[in-house]
This record gives sequence, C-alpha cells and structure tokens, in this order.
Amino acid sequence: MRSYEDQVAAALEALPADVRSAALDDLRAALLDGATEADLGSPAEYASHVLDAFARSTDPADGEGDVFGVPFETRGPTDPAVRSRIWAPADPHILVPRMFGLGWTINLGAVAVRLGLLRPDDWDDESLDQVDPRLLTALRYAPVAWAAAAVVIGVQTWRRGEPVPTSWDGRGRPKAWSTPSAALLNSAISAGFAAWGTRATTGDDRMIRPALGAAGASLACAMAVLTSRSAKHPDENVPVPALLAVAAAVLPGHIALPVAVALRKRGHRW
Amino acid sequence: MATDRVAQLRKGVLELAILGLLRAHESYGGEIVTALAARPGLDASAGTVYPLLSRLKTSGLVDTRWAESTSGPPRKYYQLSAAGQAALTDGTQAWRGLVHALDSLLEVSE
Repeated sequence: MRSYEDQVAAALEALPADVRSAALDDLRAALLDGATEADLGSPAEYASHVLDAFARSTDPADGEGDVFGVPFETRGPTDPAVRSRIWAPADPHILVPRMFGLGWTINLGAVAVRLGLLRPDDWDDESLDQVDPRLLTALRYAPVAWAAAAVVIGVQTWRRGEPVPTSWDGRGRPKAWSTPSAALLNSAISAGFAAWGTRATTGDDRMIRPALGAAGASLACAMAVLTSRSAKHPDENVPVPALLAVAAAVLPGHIALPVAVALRKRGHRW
Repeated sequence: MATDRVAQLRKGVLELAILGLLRAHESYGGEIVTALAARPGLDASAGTVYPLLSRLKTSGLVDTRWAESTSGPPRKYYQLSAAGQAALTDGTQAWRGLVHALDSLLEVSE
C-alpha cells in the first residue's frame, strides 16, 4: 500500500520539478504538524488543491516552448530556473528541455533516483543548507583553479611560438592550424566560465552555477592541453575522448559531492 | 448555491489573508490553519492552506525554515519575504479599493 505522500506525488507528476518538490515539502510539513487525511482530504483531493493553487503559475515561461514536440529554450543557462533542470530529483524525466536552443539535456537528479541513490523526495529546498559552507565556498571557487591551469598552459603554448591546431580529426590528429596567439583563446574561455561560475547565488544554484562554470572552464582547460600537446607534437594523435571524458565528469562530480554530504547529514546511506 | 459563492470568494482572498497573518511573526502551517479558523468566513482546511503556502513559497512571497519543536517533530516555519511584504501592501490597497467600490454598488442596488 503506497503512502499518502507517494499517492500525492504520483498525482502531481505532470507539474514542473521545482513546483512539485515545493508542494511535497509542504505536504511533509503538514503531516509532521499532525494533519491527517481527514484534514487534508484524500490524496486525489489534496493533489487537486495543489494543481488548483498552481494553475496560474505553471504555464510555460516566456522563452520556453516546443517545435513538433522538440522543446526549445531561449533564456539560456543565465536564468537560474533554467539551470535548475540539471538537478531536479522530484522530476522523473531524465531528458529535460536543454538550457539553450532545441533539444534535451540530462536531469542528473532523475538519473540518481533511477540508480537508487536517493528517493525523489529526499531532496528539498533546505537540503543544501546541511552542507558545510566551507565546502560550498570551495566548490564555488573551483572553476578558478581550472581557469588558472588553462591560462598557464595557454600562455606557455603561446610563448613557444609554434603554430597551434584549431581542430582535430576523429583519430585526434590536427587538421587545421592557426597562429600561436590562438592558444590564448582557450584560456580566455576558461576564465570567462570561471568568472561566471563564481558569482554569488542562492538555493540549489549554489552548487549548480559553480558546477556549470567548472564544467565549461575544465572543458576549455582540456582543449588547452590538447592544443599544447598537438602544437608540440604535430604528427602524433592526441587522446581527444579521454580528455573530454575528464571534463564531462566534472559536472556530475560537482553536483554529487555536496548532495552526498547533505544526504549523509540527514542520515541517508550515501 | 450561496455557500459555493462564498467558497469561491474566500479562495481568492486566502493568499492575502495568509500574508496578513505572517506580517506580525513567522508561523508554522498548523498555526496558520488555526488562526484562519478563528476568523469566520476565512476558515480553510489544511488541504487548502498547505498548497497555498507552497504557491506563496515558489512565488518568492514567503521564506521558510525548518526548526526543532519542543513538543514533537520538526516544524516548517513560514515568514514574509521582502517581495511578500510588497505583495501584502499592494494586495491590501487593492482589497480596500475593491471593497469600497463593491459596497457602493451593492448599496445602490439594495
């Protein structure tokens, strides 16, 4: 027999993740306050009250929509509501509208739920407050470390004065070249991501924004390493997939660490 | 039916009533339900009040915090945010204007 909360959660599946999560968090508060089914109504009635309350606020936001079923987004990752899609455990959809343009991106929260690492309702608005602020500060400034590495590598490459590659073929061999100053482009991109990722923010965005900043900065740093290596050894293949995989692991890692700490503080087995 | 009309009218103003209750001090959900029940015409079930609190929270009009209770499980407290304060001021003005206009209209029609 499913619990009252699970039945309400199932009835609210169509709601956006942040709205559903907020509604379930308040339902938990009601149950802890001692409210019973006699006070709240049946799960279906409670869910209909929630849907009614949010009826005016769940219309697609400006900038959101779909083309023949493929979602598009024009606000981009500069909007915190858009960024929050990558960590939404209460949203069962693994593929969610991407942060900019047409298509989808991955909801890491739904992936974690699917892997059995947490339940959809294990995460709420206050969960991240369980994390030591020093860890959040360290994560916030992590993109700077990637950018610093990218700048050092970029400047070293530029100072060697060799032509630098600007694209590679599938085997990792350079196929187009530019002047040495092009090596500084990766450094500039990485620094831009770092500057963006370290800006102050609130709520879950305290881990999401730096995670995206670090992902961008580390990708640019990986490109700086590839560029340097190919400039030095133009006839060798570079391990493009390996370097890109390292950069791709940064985003989930940046989310997983504070989530694990927060859930452990609440007695979760993580 | 008259009771349905009252219910619809009340539904529209419950959000404003909750903001008004939170003006003086923060409260947990059960307190808000009890405080509304003490005012004839504004009483609403927990099943109505908690979803409205969720909506106020996601609209940024209230802030929340969990706090240990001396007499049981932890409680979620709701308090007015700066945006909620502004919404309460606007809502109060709009409500007074509406009541005034409607009173004049109803007096004429009586």
